[in-house]
Amino acid sequence: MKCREFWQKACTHLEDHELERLETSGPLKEHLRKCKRCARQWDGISQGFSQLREDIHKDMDPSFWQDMRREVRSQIKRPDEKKWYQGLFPRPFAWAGALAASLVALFFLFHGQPHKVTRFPAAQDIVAMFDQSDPFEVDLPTNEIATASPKTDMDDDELTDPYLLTGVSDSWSGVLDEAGQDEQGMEMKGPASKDKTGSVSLVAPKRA
Amino acid sequence: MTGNDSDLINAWLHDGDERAFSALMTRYQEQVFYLVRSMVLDVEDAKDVTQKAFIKAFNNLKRLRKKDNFRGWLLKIAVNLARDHLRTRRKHLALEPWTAKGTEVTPERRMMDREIKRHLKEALLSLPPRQQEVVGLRLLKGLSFKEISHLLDMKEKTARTNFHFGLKALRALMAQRGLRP
Repeated sequence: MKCREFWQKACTHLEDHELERLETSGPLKEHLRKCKRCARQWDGISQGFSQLREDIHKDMDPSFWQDMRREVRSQIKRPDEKKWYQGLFPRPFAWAGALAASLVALFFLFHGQPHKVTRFPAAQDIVAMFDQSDPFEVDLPTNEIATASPKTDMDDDELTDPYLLTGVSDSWSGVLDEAGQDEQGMEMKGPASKDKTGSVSLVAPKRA
Repeated sequence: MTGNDSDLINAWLHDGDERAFSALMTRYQEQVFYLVRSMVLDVEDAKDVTQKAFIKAFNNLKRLRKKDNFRGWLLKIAVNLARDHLRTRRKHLALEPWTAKGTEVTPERRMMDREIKRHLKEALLSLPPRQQEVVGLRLLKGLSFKEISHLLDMKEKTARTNFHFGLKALRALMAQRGLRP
């Protein structure tokens, strides 16, 4: 038997048998007796595997297994441990509770904060509004008009300008003046007369 | 605590029974450890991989449909993790202190044995991954090719071929290292 043939047969033999069984195999054993090189290599492999196998299967200390169990146990959760949200609702309705909670969350997410409630006027305010003698009469004090005007340094003429007082702008007052002159007699005298109470009222222009 | 795997798994899953957990661990931790060790060789690495395998298995236990198949499922998880481990740490070879057994062990013999073992370890770890897995599981763990093919997800014939070439390469590596037992 040649060396190559030996190793081929040895490998095939080991596929189905243990390393030690080779000793009982006639032709292979015979080759090992004759070929020192193959014998050395075979011994090296078989001894090496035997020793490794002994090492691998040598009994471990009982504490080794206990440590392993403890380590594994510390890194796994109990299967019946509930998550925090699972305890909020009773089990059969858990899905409904979760759905309701998510709907509320979605509502606030898309609508922001709840609207501020508009305060309706109090009852006494409403009564005061209708308690005025003439709701159509404008009763404004003159100083309010002056402060409402954008101009601060006004001449006396300007103060007597009815259009200015009534809020008509300068450009429109010019147009209206011209229109009044064209109609011969339609003079827009608009002196804002003050009544006794100091309030301003408009006087209708007189025809010439 | 006794009972078949399925009962123990149900007791753990539904009642959180610690005794069931402990029984399952005790039943399989040695099998898993020695299987992994025949692949990764180093004790500490084998311990790490074994723990990872159990953690992964227990965390995914609800997904296991056939509870009776726990052993096969667990071993497969362990083998896959061992393969991942080998892939990342192939280059590192940790040598362990070795205590020779037997009554008449001379210091010379002990040194020689240690050398053989060291050479063999290095040679094993330098084999292609598939060959190393098959050779280790066959010659160190003593698994049949049917079991190996199931664990490594390969055909039995492929496992045999890998074994054949692995052993051949191993012999060549040992010869290269000038092994003189």
